[in-house]
Amino acid sequence: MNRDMLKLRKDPTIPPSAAATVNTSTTNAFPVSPRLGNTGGDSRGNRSGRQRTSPKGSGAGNNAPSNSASSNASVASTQHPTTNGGPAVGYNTLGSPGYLTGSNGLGIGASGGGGSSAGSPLVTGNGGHSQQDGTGPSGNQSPLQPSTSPISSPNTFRFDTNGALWALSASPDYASVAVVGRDVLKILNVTEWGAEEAINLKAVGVRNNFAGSTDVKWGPTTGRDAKIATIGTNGPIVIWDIGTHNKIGRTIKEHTRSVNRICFSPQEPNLLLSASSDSTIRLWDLRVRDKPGVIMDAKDIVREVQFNPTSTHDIVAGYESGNIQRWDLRNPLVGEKKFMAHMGFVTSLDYHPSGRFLASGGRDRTIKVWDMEDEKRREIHTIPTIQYTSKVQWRPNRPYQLAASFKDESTVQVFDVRRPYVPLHVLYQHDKDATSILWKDSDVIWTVSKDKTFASALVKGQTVSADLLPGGKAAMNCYGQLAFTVSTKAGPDSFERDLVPKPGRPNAKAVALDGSSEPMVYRTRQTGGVFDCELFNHEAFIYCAQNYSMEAGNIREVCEHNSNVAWQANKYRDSQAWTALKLFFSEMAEPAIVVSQVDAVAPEVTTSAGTKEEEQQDDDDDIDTLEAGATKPVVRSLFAIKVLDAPIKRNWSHDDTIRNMLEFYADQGEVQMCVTILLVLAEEEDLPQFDLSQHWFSSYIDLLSRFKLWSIATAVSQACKDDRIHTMNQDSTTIHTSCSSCMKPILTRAPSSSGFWACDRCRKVLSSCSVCHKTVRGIFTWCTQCSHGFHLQHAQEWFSQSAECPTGCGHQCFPEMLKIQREQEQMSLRLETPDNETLHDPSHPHAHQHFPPRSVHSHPQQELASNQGHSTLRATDSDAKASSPLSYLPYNVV
Amino acid sequence: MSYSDYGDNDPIYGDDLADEDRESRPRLMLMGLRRSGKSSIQRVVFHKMTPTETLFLESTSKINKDNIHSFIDFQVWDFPGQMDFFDPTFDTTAIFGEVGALVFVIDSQDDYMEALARLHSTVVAAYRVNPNITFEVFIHKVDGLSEDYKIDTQRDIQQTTTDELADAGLENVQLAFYLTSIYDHSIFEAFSKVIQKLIPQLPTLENLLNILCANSGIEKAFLFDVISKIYIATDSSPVDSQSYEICSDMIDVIIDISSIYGRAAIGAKSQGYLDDQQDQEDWSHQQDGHDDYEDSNGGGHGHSQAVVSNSSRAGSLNNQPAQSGGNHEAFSVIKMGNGTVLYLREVNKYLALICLLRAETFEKQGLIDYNVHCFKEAMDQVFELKRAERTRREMEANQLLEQQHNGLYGHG
Repeated sequence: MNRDMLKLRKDPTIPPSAAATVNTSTTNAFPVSPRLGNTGGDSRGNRSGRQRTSPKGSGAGNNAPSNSASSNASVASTQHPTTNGGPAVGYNTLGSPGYLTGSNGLGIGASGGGGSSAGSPLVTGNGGHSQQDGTGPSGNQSPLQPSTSPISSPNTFRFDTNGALWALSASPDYASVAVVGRDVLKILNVTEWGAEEAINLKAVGVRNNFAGSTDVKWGPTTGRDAKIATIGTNGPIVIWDIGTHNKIGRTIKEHTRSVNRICFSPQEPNLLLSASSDSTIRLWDLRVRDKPGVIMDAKDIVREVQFNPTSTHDIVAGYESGNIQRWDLRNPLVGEKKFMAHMGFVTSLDYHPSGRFLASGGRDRTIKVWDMEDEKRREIHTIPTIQYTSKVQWRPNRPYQLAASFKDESTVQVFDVRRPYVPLHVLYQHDKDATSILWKDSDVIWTVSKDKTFASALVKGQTVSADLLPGGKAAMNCYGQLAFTVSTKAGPDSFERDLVPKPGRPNAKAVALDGSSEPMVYRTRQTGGVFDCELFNHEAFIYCAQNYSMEAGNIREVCEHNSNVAWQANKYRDSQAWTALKLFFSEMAEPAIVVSQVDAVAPEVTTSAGTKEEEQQDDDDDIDTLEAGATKPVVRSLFAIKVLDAPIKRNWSHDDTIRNMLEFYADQGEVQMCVTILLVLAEEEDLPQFDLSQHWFSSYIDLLSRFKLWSIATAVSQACKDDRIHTMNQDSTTIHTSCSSCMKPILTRAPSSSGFWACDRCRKVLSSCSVCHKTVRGIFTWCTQCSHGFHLQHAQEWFSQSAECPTGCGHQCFPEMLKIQREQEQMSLRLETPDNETLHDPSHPHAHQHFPPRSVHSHPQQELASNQGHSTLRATDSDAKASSPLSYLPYNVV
Repeated sequence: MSYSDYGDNDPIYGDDLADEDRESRPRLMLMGLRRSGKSSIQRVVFHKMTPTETLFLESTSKINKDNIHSFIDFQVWDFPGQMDFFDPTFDTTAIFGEVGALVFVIDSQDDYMEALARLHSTVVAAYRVNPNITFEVFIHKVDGLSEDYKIDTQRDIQQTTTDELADAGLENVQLAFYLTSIYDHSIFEAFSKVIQKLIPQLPTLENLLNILCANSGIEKAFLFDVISKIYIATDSSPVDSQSYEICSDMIDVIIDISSIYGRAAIGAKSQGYLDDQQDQEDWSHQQDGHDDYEDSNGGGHGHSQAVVSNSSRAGSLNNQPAQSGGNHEAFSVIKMGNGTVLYLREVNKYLALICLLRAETFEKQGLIDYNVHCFKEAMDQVFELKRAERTRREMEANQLLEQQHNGLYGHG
């Protein structure tokens, strides 16, 4: 092989990694010919096969490296060289249909000079960037090119129509497609290699005052009867007889408001359904020109209507209100099953080819899949989407997959309902919003867009976007534990293998979309673990948080206290830091005296008074350097003690030391020390200012909250002088209620159907009445000691009869009752011994009140007061049971 | 500025003429249990009360009739929650006889079983009297609910209600359900849909807007009632909440700016709704000097980098009488950072047309201006019919009255 004869092509638009792959594979065996050729015309040296791996129209280079390797590998087994330039399709031995084309030089292919490469096809699996070889005006390079853009691979092209497109519909044989838009009404002939304009109906439309169309449907009839139906932007449905002559066959103007969707019956070719904003669905028989349509009164704006593909009479309609309703054409007077499907209008419906399931897209940004034979009116799959869908359609021959286009979104996404959160494929076909989609077959999808183009894309071989997701995640909690997951993917395209039966109760009626009886869901194969890093001594942190004093002002004592606390928490460095702080500020204990540094030459010690001497002595005790007797005279020679009247100033500044200290702790992440020191020194006037002090405070408060030290967090926030921290708990305070048995917060936004009255986790009724076992809604009364609660009325009734708790816990919630009962007994027995003092519980606040049993009904006010006291006052009563365990009480008083 | 009292003081549509005017005035009833939020809704939507203020509303003790004088005239009746329809003294015929829409408010955060029972009895009673009534159910206070819980609540309420009505033999009664909250735009959107059902000209307006959108490259067009921020018509493409919200916010912006920069007319502006005498006073500001027109036009393109550039101007056309026919016109354009243009034009003193369009379409602004001008003329023609109809009816009524008077005199 003469290398000089052959030029290596390297397209600058190919990303480096992809280009490298190309170069490797080509230079190894077969250099690439730069010669351009037309499809199928040139017979010389076009022994090139090429596998499509990823026909990405706009060439967003995000999948090249990974794919190229695999496609190269798979192609190695492919032995289908085409012998001339005609397009050919082959199947590689891996079983997946891959397109091998003999497009002479259109792809990055090889032209074997002199037959050296004959018989061995060159394949460049460069992950879908191969169409960028500049052989023609490719669609993604020149979106405004007004002609067909032949691109190297079949079924991947774009065609510009000179106007924003809204809808498309294909002829029954998929040889032609009608595309409509604001000022477009065209029929295109589509082949594997591109599209060309066949008929432009716009002129006729304009003549008849139909500027554009919002929807188009191609009738199932063929030949001379071929029809398409369009919805004019100004209202009427227009039937075009395109089989014989391109003219308007019929105009339907009966709808009083605009028509939103039309649909041909797949079984009865002349039946057309129309859904309109005038709250009707109408059925037209196009064979009878003047026959008025059958009217179905939907009583709601109808956005979408669809035929069941397996039935002649079963249709389904989607409404503005978000309802979906089934209608039977044999009984147009009364609609059948109607169910609430979406919040906001239904944008799109598509019947599953099986005729049993229905996919619906709604304004609530979901695609839902419904089993229309199930009575439950519950969706069986929900796919959350980035925007609301403009069009959804099931993929032929792939029972679990559907494609959707979205409002204000240029991509088209293919989903597998078993894995709803990650789209299977994302197709970057358009520059602007894709408006509608249509599956040509199970591998090719046609789309139209507001960027004025009609595009075709090959879905087969597209990168599975979920494979691009990183499988590992890690997170750390406040106890220093690191939780992590590692994906154990079986390899690319392992989706099918990771399916598991849907968890939950076995449902005999459940049917999977492919007809098998076991619904499957995707389960990510991940291994996880928790790793104890021991980076953070949380016990010491909690101990210090609970015991540190944050009191400002009395620096000496507070520092001493904190030093001890830190010592006990085994934080020796912190303990020393506190000691040092204490020393720094100790000299200020007697403000009248200032130790000042004088010139080193001054040998004498000036002592003003005896008390000062003592103070100096005191200082000496504290300052280590002064403690040694030998150094004393030396040090003394350095200091002079003066009495200053005013103002008092520290003559040697600790600012730098304190600054260093705080910065050291901030570097260590010890916000606890930073914050506590700042708070203790808060009253110091010339405390250095720190830019980050606000962050220290907020992270310390955050950390305290994570350890559930709420009171300390509040104390810190209140002690802080910074306004933003100080007011932190003064605005938008949220009080959550928790389940009293499992402590799970009962969120106001509870997503459960139980709402506020039952705990989701432990399935218990919250704040139930111990007497009637129903939820107390309203005033909840409880015993503060056994914490059993009641309806107020039930408590009154019960405790007018008994002193014991109605739950049988044995607690005497209402000892007065016992006393009263005794009194009554004694009264009845006429015993005069006043020994009922023995029953008197001195700690009880109501001990001296006597409630005759009958007074419950005769003095409800008084009883109410006593009951309230019973429930609330005692909790705050310092006298009563300060040591009694305060169990958590659900707070349900509304 | 306060719109709080518009309506009742109206010199023309006062209560004395209410009987005569009743036919042309659809009546809208707000019903529901006590504390479900009826009065709050009324205050927020029609009286510009901020949602937080509604916490301090007293509970309603008697039927509160509120005449709304906007583009369409209608009455809102706010019912006290504790009203009992089975009270024999309660005249259902008089109450429900001429109601256009009955809005039933359900507090979704409460236990709504009682509300559903009340709704059922209300619907049964009202339907018996007036089968033409449209029933609207507001599932209210949904701001506190999660998305999942919202749809579950709606599904539950809808299912229970329709099943119960079907059991009562009223399958034909159509209830429309809306999830609403006064803390966002949902209540305005729900009211828009309710009001739209009461507008007989809606299909015509919708069609006009469709044609306008199709011919001007407009993505979405709303016809807003400026006071209440209710849209009375839109083109037939589905309304997504973002576009509604941004248009609604635009009205707020324009009103705020006009109250700052507007000239003296603004003082009258807030009363302009009250006073029919100020027929031609527009609600927008009117800047001095016609050079603003050139300014904002030329500057518009320069603002493309700004996230929101407001080239709001108004009244400029009144310096060009040949074009405007002497009408004041408010007009404003806001260019958004994402390439969307908001285009507002006053249609009449109550209504404003707001269009959402792409920046590249807006390059043909002259065409759009012309199309909107045509749209306005068409609208005028549509409502000229209504006005003529009303005048005719008033004249007939007067004639009848005169005849009666004459007759009386004759007899006397």
